[in-house]
Amino acid sequence: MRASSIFIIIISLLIAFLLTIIKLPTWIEYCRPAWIPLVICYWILALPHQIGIATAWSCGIILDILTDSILGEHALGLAITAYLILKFHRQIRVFPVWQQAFAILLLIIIYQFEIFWVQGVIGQNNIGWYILTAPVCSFIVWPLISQILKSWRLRFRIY
Amino acid sequence: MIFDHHQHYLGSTKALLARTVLPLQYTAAWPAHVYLNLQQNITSYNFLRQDNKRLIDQNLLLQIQQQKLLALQLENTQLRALLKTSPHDQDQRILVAEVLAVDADPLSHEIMLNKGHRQGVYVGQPVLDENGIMGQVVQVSAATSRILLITDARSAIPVQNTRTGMRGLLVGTGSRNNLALINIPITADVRIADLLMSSGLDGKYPAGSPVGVVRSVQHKSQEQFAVITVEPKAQMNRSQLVVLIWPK
Repeated sequence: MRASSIFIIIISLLIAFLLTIIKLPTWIEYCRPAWIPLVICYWILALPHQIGIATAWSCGIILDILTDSILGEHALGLAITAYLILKFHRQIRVFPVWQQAFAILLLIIIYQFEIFWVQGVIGQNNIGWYILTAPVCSFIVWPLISQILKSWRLRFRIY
Repeated sequence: MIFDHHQHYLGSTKALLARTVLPLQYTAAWPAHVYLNLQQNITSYNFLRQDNKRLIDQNLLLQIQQQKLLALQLENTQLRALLKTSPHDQDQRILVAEVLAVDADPLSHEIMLNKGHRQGVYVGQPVLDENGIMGQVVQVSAATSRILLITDARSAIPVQNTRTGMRGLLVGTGSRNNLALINIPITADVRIADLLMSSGLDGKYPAGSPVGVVRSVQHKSQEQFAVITVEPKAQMNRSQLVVLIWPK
Protein backbone atom coordinates (compact mmCIF):
# COMPACT_ATOMS: atom_id res chain seq x y z
CA MET A 1 0.00 0.00 0.00
CA ARG A 2 1.28 3.41 -0.87
CA ALA A 3 2.66 5.62 1.87
CA SER A 4 0.16 8.37 1.14
CA SER A 5 -2.71 5.93 1.64
CA ILE A 6 -1.39 4.89 5.02
CA PHE A 7 -0.98 8.56 5.87
CA ILE A 8 -4.60 9.37 5.05
CA ILE A 9 -5.88 6.41 7.04
CA ILE A 10 -3.77 7.44 10.02
CA ILE A 11 -5.04 11.01 9.73
CA SER A 12 -8.63 9.80 9.77
CA LEU A 13 -7.91 7.66 12.83
CA LEU A 14 -6.23 10.58 14.60
CA ILE A 15 -9.24 12.79 13.96
CA ALA A 16 -11.47 10.01 15.32
CA PHE A 17 -9.30 9.82 18.48
CA LEU A 18 -9.52 13.58 18.92
CA LEU A 19 -13.29 13.51 18.57
CA THR A 20 -13.48 10.69 21.08
CA ILE A 21 -11.72 12.60 23.84
CA ILE A 22 -12.65 16.20 23.15
CA LYS A 23 -14.79 17.74 25.88
CA LEU A 24 -18.38 18.31 24.84
CA PRO A 25 -20.79 20.74 26.52
CA THR A 26 -22.95 19.10 29.19
CA TRP A 27 -26.15 19.17 27.18
CA ILE A 28 -24.68 17.13 24.34
CA GLU A 29 -22.20 14.93 26.17
CA TYR A 30 -24.41 11.85 25.92
CA CYS A 31 -24.69 12.16 22.14
CA ARG A 32 -21.13 11.17 21.34
CA PRO A 33 -20.93 8.49 18.64
CA ALA A 34 -18.30 5.77 18.89
CA TRP A 35 -15.95 7.41 16.39
CA ILE A 36 -13.13 4.89 16.44
CA PRO A 37 -15.27 1.78 15.76
CA LEU A 38 -17.05 3.70 12.99
CA VAL A 39 -13.84 4.72 11.22
CA ILE A 40 -12.31 1.26 11.65
CA CYS A 41 -15.49 -0.32 10.24
CA TYR A 42 -15.37 1.94 7.20
CA TRP A 43 -11.75 1.21 6.42
CA ILE A 44 -12.22 -2.53 6.85
CA LEU A 45 -15.19 -2.44 4.48
CA ALA A 46 -13.12 -0.47 1.98
CA LEU A 47 -9.82 -2.33 2.29
CA PRO A 48 -10.51 -5.72 3.88
CA HIS A 49 -7.17 -7.13 2.83
CA GLN A 50 -5.04 -4.36 4.26
CA ILE A 51 -6.86 -3.15 7.35
CA GLY A 52 -7.79 -5.91 9.71
CA ILE A 53 -7.95 -7.09 13.27
CA ALA A 54 -4.39 -6.05 14.06
CA THR A 55 -5.04 -2.40 13.23
CA ALA A 56 -8.27 -2.48 15.20
CA TRP A 57 -6.54 -4.01 18.19
CA SER A 58 -3.74 -1.42 18.21
CA CYS A 59 -6.28 1.38 17.97
CA GLY A 60 -8.02 -0.23 20.91
CA ILE A 61 -4.82 -0.18 22.94
CA ILE A 62 -4.32 3.50 22.16
CA LEU A 63 -7.92 4.13 23.18
CA ASP A 64 -7.31 2.30 26.46
CA ILE A 65 -4.32 4.53 27.18
CA LEU A 66 -6.32 7.64 26.34
CA THR A 67 -9.22 6.73 28.57
CA ASP A 68 -7.18 5.12 31.34
CA SER A 69 -9.22 1.95 31.28
CA ILE A 70 -7.83 -1.47 31.95
CA LEU A 71 -5.38 -2.31 29.17
CA GLY A 72 -7.10 -4.42 26.57
CA GLU A 73 -10.74 -3.52 27.25
CA HIS A 74 -11.32 -1.41 24.16
CA ALA A 75 -8.75 -3.47 22.25
CA LEU A 76 -10.81 -6.62 22.69
CA GLY A 77 -13.99 -4.76 21.78
CA LEU A 78 -12.50 -3.34 18.62
CA ALA A 79 -10.96 -6.70 17.70
CA ILE A 80 -14.37 -8.38 18.02
CA THR A 81 -15.96 -5.62 15.93
CA ALA A 82 -13.21 -5.95 13.30
CA TYR A 83 -13.62 -9.72 13.22
CA LEU A 84 -17.37 -9.47 12.70
CA ILE A 85 -17.00 -6.87 9.96
CA LEU A 86 -14.35 -8.95 8.22
CA LYS A 87 -16.52 -12.03 8.39
CA PHE A 88 -19.49 -10.32 6.76
CA HIS A 89 -17.76 -7.64 4.74
CA ARG A 90 -18.81 -9.05 1.39
CA GLN A 91 -22.47 -8.78 2.34
CA ILE A 92 -22.31 -5.50 4.22
CA ARG A 93 -20.32 -3.83 1.47
CA VAL A 94 -23.18 -4.09 -1.04
CA PHE A 95 -25.89 -2.99 1.35
CA PRO A 96 -27.44 0.42 0.81
CA VAL A 97 -26.20 2.99 3.31
CA TRP A 98 -29.20 2.83 5.61
CA GLN A 99 -28.95 -0.93 5.87
CA GLN A 100 -25.24 -0.62 6.59
CA ALA A 101 -26.20 1.78 9.36
CA PHE A 102 -28.33 -0.92 10.96
CA ALA A 103 -25.44 -3.38 10.77
CA ILE A 104 -23.24 -0.74 12.41
CA LEU A 105 -25.88 -0.25 15.11
CA LEU A 106 -25.71 -3.93 15.94
CA LEU A 107 -21.92 -3.93 15.94
CA ILE A 108 -21.66 -0.93 18.23
CA ILE A 109 -24.17 -2.53 20.60
CA ILE A 110 -21.95 -5.62 20.74
CA TYR A 111 -18.88 -3.40 21.27
CA GLN A 112 -20.51 -1.48 24.13
CA PHE A 113 -21.75 -4.73 25.61
CA GLU A 114 -18.21 -6.12 25.69
CA ILE A 115 -16.85 -2.97 27.32
CA PHE A 116 -19.49 -2.92 30.02
CA TRP A 117 -19.07 -6.62 30.61
CA VAL A 118 -15.34 -6.19 31.21
CA GLN A 119 -15.99 -3.19 33.42
CA GLY A 120 -18.52 -5.19 35.39
CA VAL A 121 -16.07 -8.05 35.88
CA ILE A 122 -13.39 -5.77 37.32
CA GLY A 123 -15.84 -3.80 39.42
CA GLN A 124 -15.92 -0.54 37.50
CA ASN A 125 -19.68 -0.51 37.14
CA ASN A 126 -20.45 2.95 35.83
CA ILE A 127 -23.84 2.58 34.16
CA GLY A 128 -25.72 5.37 32.50
CA TRP A 129 -27.73 6.39 29.46
CA TYR A 130 -24.56 6.51 27.42
CA ILE A 131 -24.81 2.75 26.86
CA LEU A 132 -27.94 3.31 24.78
CA THR A 133 -27.22 6.68 23.21
CA ALA A 134 -23.77 5.75 21.89
CA PRO A 135 -25.01 3.07 19.44
CA VAL A 136 -27.96 5.22 18.37
CA CYS A 137 -25.74 8.23 17.72
CA SER A 138 -23.26 6.06 15.84
CA PHE A 139 -26.16 4.76 13.73
CA ILE A 140 -27.18 8.33 12.89
CA VAL A 141 -23.66 9.44 12.10
CA TRP A 142 -22.62 6.44 9.99
CA PRO A 143 -23.95 7.72 6.64
CA LEU A 144 -22.07 10.98 7.15
CA ILE A 145 -18.83 9.25 8.10
CA SER A 146 -19.01 6.75 5.29
CA GLN A 147 -19.59 9.53 2.74
CA ILE A 148 -16.76 11.69 4.06
CA LEU A 149 -14.27 8.84 4.16
CA LYS A 150 -15.44 7.62 0.77
CA SER A 151 -14.77 11.04 -0.73
CA TRP A 152 -11.28 11.00 0.81
CA ARG A 153 -10.69 7.51 -0.51
CA LEU A 154 -11.65 8.46 -4.03
CA ARG A 155 -9.77 11.72 -3.94
CA PHE A 156 -6.53 10.29 -2.65
CA ARG A 157 -6.99 7.07 -4.61
CA ILE A 158 -6.68 4.58 -1.79
CA TYR A 159 -7.61 1.18 -3.21
CA MET B 1 -6.35 -7.46 30.67
CA ILE B 2 -5.81 -10.13 33.26
CA PHE B 3 -2.20 -9.05 33.71
CA ASP B 4 -3.14 -5.44 34.10
CA HIS B 5 -5.82 -6.09 36.64
CA HIS B 6 -4.24 -8.71 38.83
CA GLN B 7 -0.55 -8.08 38.62
CA HIS B 8 -0.02 -4.36 38.13
CA TYR B 9 3.04 -5.25 36.03
CA LEU B 10 1.91 -3.05 33.24
CA GLY B 11 1.95 0.14 35.28
CA SER B 12 5.21 1.46 33.89
CA THR B 13 4.29 0.41 30.35
CA LYS B 14 1.04 2.26 30.68
CA ALA B 15 2.84 5.34 31.94
CA LEU B 16 5.24 5.23 29.01
CA LEU B 17 2.45 4.80 26.49
CA ALA B 18 0.48 7.55 28.22
CA ARG B 19 3.41 9.85 27.52
CA THR B 20 3.16 8.97 23.83
CA VAL B 21 -0.49 9.86 23.50
CA LEU B 22 -0.04 13.11 25.39
CA PRO B 23 0.12 15.33 22.25
CA LEU B 24 -3.25 13.93 21.22
CA GLN B 25 -4.76 14.82 24.57
CA TYR B 26 -3.30 18.31 24.54
CA THR B 27 -4.68 18.80 21.03
CA ALA B 28 -8.12 17.63 22.15
CA ALA B 29 -8.02 19.94 25.16
CA TRP B 30 -6.91 22.92 23.07
CA PRO B 31 -10.34 24.05 21.72
CA ALA B 32 -11.84 24.13 25.20
CA HIS B 33 -8.93 26.19 26.50
CA VAL B 34 -9.14 28.58 23.55
CA TYR B 35 -12.84 29.04 24.21
CA LEU B 36 -12.23 29.71 27.90
CA ASN B 37 -9.49 32.23 27.12
CA LEU B 38 -11.74 33.93 24.63
CA GLN B 39 -14.50 34.11 27.21
CA GLN B 40 -12.12 35.71 29.67
CA ASN B 41 -10.78 38.22 27.17
CA ILE B 42 -14.16 39.37 25.92
CA THR B 43 -15.86 40.23 29.20
CA SER B 44 -17.39 43.63 29.68
CA TYR B 45 -15.68 46.30 31.71
CA ASN B 46 -18.67 46.50 34.06
CA PHE B 47 -18.53 42.82 34.78
CA LEU B 48 -14.82 43.07 35.54
CA ARG B 49 -15.39 45.93 37.94
CA GLN B 50 -18.13 44.06 39.78
CA ASP B 51 -16.09 40.88 39.92
CA ASN B 52 -13.09 42.82 41.20
CA LYS B 53 -15.16 44.38 43.97
CA ARG B 54 -16.58 40.99 44.90
CA LEU B 55 -13.09 39.49 45.08
CA ILE B 56 -11.78 42.36 47.21
CA ASP B 57 -14.66 41.89 49.67
CA GLN B 58 -14.12 38.14 49.75
CA ASN B 59 -10.41 38.63 50.29
CA LEU B 60 -11.10 40.94 53.25
CA LEU B 61 -13.44 38.40 54.85
CA LEU B 62 -10.93 35.58 54.34
CA GLN B 63 -8.13 37.59 55.90
CA ILE B 64 -10.25 38.35 58.95
CA GLN B 65 -11.09 34.66 59.23
CA GLN B 66 -7.42 33.82 58.94
CA GLN B 67 -6.62 36.06 61.89
CA LYS B 68 -9.02 34.02 63.96
CA LEU B 69 -7.46 30.86 62.57
CA LEU B 70 -4.00 31.88 63.76
CA ALA B 71 -5.34 32.54 67.24
CA LEU B 72 -7.08 29.15 67.24
CA GLN B 73 -3.93 27.44 66.03
CA LEU B 74 -1.95 28.91 68.91
CA GLU B 75 -4.59 27.85 71.41
CA ASN B 76 -4.70 24.38 69.86
CA THR B 77 -0.93 23.96 70.13
CA GLN B 78 -1.01 25.04 73.77
CA LEU B 79 -3.85 22.68 74.62
CA ARG B 80 -2.14 19.80 72.88
CA ALA B 81 1.05 20.54 74.79
CA LEU B 82 -0.97 20.41 78.01
CA LEU B 83 -2.40 17.04 77.01
CA LYS B 84 1.06 15.87 75.98
CA THR B 85 -0.09 14.86 72.48
CA SER B 86 1.97 15.54 69.37
CA PRO B 87 1.36 18.91 67.71
CA HIS B 88 -0.48 19.43 64.42
CA ASP B 89 1.78 20.67 61.70
CA GLN B 90 -0.28 23.20 59.78
CA ASP B 91 2.11 24.17 57.03
CA GLN B 92 1.26 21.92 54.15
CA ARG B 93 2.92 21.92 50.80
CA ILE B 94 0.37 22.56 48.07
CA LEU B 95 0.48 22.68 44.31
CA VAL B 96 -2.08 24.34 42.10
CA ALA B 97 -2.93 22.44 38.93
CA GLU B 98 -5.15 23.08 35.95
CA VAL B 99 -7.69 20.56 34.73
CA LEU B 100 -7.10 19.48 31.13
CA ALA B 101 -10.38 19.50 29.25
CA VAL B 102 -10.17 15.89 28.16
CA ASP B 103 -13.19 13.71 28.65
CA ALA B 104 -13.66 10.29 27.11
CA ASP B 105 -17.28 9.62 28.01
CA PRO B 106 -19.84 10.90 30.48
CA LEU B 107 -19.59 7.70 32.50
CA SER B 108 -15.96 8.09 33.46
CA HIS B 109 -15.17 9.74 36.76
CA GLU B 110 -11.61 10.69 36.10
CA ILE B 111 -10.00 14.00 35.25
CA MET B 112 -6.57 14.88 33.99
CA LEU B 113 -4.30 17.53 35.44
CA ASN B 114 -1.32 19.24 33.90
CA LYS B 115 1.09 18.42 36.74
CA GLY B 116 2.98 15.17 36.97
CA HIS B 117 6.06 13.36 38.16
CA ARG B 118 8.29 16.35 37.49
CA GLN B 119 6.40 18.46 40.02
CA GLY B 120 6.49 15.72 42.62
CA VAL B 121 2.97 14.35 42.22
CA TYR B 122 2.62 10.79 43.52
CA VAL B 123 -0.01 8.09 43.28
CA GLY B 124 -2.56 8.37 46.08
CA GLN B 125 -2.12 12.10 46.55
CA PRO B 126 -5.34 13.89 47.55
CA VAL B 127 -6.80 16.56 45.30
CA LEU B 128 -9.08 19.35 46.49
CA ASP B 129 -10.85 22.24 44.89
CA GLU B 130 -11.93 25.37 46.72
CA ASN B 131 -15.11 23.73 48.01
CA GLY B 132 -13.86 20.37 49.18
CA ILE B 133 -12.18 17.09 48.38
CA MET B 134 -12.30 16.00 44.75
CA GLY B 135 -10.43 12.73 44.65
CA GLN B 136 -7.00 11.18 44.54
CA VAL B 137 -4.27 10.65 41.98
CA VAL B 138 -4.30 7.22 40.36
CA GLN B 139 -1.78 7.55 37.57
CA VAL B 140 1.22 9.81 37.20
CA SER B 141 3.14 10.54 34.01
CA ALA B 142 6.02 12.92 33.56
CA ALA B 143 3.92 16.03 33.03
CA THR B 144 0.32 14.95 33.64
CA SER B 145 -1.63 12.91 36.11
CA ARG B 146 -5.06 11.32 36.34
CA ILE B 147 -7.40 11.83 39.27
CA LEU B 148 -10.12 9.42 40.33
CA LEU B 149 -13.04 11.50 41.57
CA ILE B 150 -14.85 10.52 44.74
CA THR B 151 -18.01 9.99 42.69
CA ASP B 152 -16.53 6.91 40.99
CA ALA B 153 -17.89 3.57 42.16
CA ARG B 154 -14.37 2.45 43.13
CA SER B 155 -13.79 5.37 45.45
CA ALA B 156 -14.24 5.36 49.21
CA ILE B 157 -13.32 8.04 51.73
CA PRO B 158 -13.64 7.86 55.54
CA VAL B 159 -15.66 10.80 56.81
CA GLN B 160 -16.86 12.28 60.06
CA ASN B 161 -20.11 14.10 60.72
CA THR B 162 -19.26 17.63 61.85
CA ARG B 163 -22.41 17.85 63.95
CA THR B 164 -22.23 14.58 65.86
CA GLY B 165 -18.66 13.37 65.38
CA MET B 166 -19.88 10.00 64.11
CA ARG B 167 -17.56 8.30 61.63
CA GLY B 168 -18.56 6.52 58.46
CA LEU B 169 -17.45 5.54 54.98
CA LEU B 170 -18.53 7.57 51.99
CA VAL B 171 -18.47 5.66 48.72
CA GLY B 172 -19.09 6.79 45.17
CA THR B 173 -22.11 5.43 43.38
CA GLY B 174 -21.14 6.17 39.79
CA SER B 175 -23.56 9.08 39.66
CA ARG B 176 -22.22 12.62 39.30
CA ASN B 177 -24.13 14.16 42.19
CA ASN B 178 -24.68 11.37 44.66
CA LEU B 179 -22.42 9.62 47.07
CA ALA B 180 -23.60 7.01 49.54
CA LEU B 181 -22.78 6.90 53.23
CA ILE B 182 -22.68 3.18 53.94
CA ASN B 183 -22.93 0.96 56.98
CA ILE B 184 -24.72 3.51 59.14
CA PRO B 185 -27.24 1.72 61.39
CA ILE B 186 -30.83 2.87 61.42
CA THR B 187 -30.56 4.09 64.97
CA ALA B 188 -27.71 6.52 64.21
CA ASP B 189 -28.33 10.25 64.33
CA VAL B 190 -27.94 11.61 60.80
CA ARG B 191 -29.97 14.56 59.53
CA ILE B 192 -30.35 16.32 56.21
CA ALA B 193 -27.84 19.16 55.74
CA ASP B 194 -25.22 17.55 57.96
CA LEU B 195 -21.77 18.47 56.72
CA LEU B 196 -19.39 15.55 56.36
CA MET B 197 -15.67 16.15 56.49
CA SER B 198 -12.79 13.74 55.98
CA SER B 199 -11.63 12.05 59.15
CA GLY B 200 -8.11 11.37 57.95
CA LEU B 201 -8.24 7.81 59.28
CA ASP B 202 -7.00 6.30 56.03
CA GLY B 203 -3.81 8.33 56.03
CA LYS B 204 -4.47 9.44 52.46
CA TYR B 205 -6.95 12.28 52.60
CA PRO B 206 -6.17 15.20 54.93
CA ALA B 207 -8.36 15.38 58.01
CA GLY B 208 -10.93 18.12 58.36
CA SER B 209 -11.60 18.88 54.69
CA PRO B 210 -15.26 19.17 53.68
CA VAL B 211 -16.47 16.32 51.51
CA GLY B 212 -20.24 16.54 51.21
CA VAL B 213 -23.60 17.47 52.57
CA VAL B 214 -26.28 14.90 53.47
CA ARG B 215 -29.20 15.21 51.11
CA SER B 216 -31.55 12.41 52.13
CA VAL B 217 -31.84 9.84 54.88
CA GLN B 218 -34.14 6.89 54.34
CA HIS B 219 -35.02 4.23 56.85
CA LYS B 220 -36.48 1.27 55.08
CA SER B 221 -38.26 -1.08 57.42
CA GLN B 222 -36.57 -4.40 58.15
CA GLU B 223 -33.23 -3.06 56.88
CA GLN B 224 -30.31 -2.86 59.21
CA PHE B 225 -28.63 0.16 57.64
CA ALA B 226 -30.00 3.53 56.60
CA VAL B 227 -29.84 4.65 52.97
CA ILE B 228 -28.11 8.02 53.02
CA THR B 229 -27.32 10.05 49.92
CA VAL B 230 -24.72 12.76 50.10
CA GLU B 231 -24.05 15.56 47.66
CA PRO B 232 -20.34 16.27 47.15
CA LYS B 233 -19.20 19.80 47.91
CA ALA B 234 -16.50 19.96 45.28
CA GLN B 235 -17.57 21.02 41.78
CA MET B 236 -16.64 17.88 39.87
CA ASN B 237 -17.44 19.16 36.42
CA ARG B 238 -16.75 22.84 36.61
CA SER B 239 -13.48 23.23 38.48
CA GLN B 240 -10.66 24.54 36.40
CA LEU B 241 -8.06 24.97 39.11
CA VAL B 242 -7.49 22.32 41.73
CA VAL B 243 -4.99 21.89 44.51
CA LEU B 244 -2.78 18.89 45.18
CA ILE B 245 -1.61 18.66 48.75
CA TRP B 246 1.02 16.76 50.65
CA PRO B 247 -0.70 15.74 53.89
CA LYS B 248 1.45 15.40 56.97
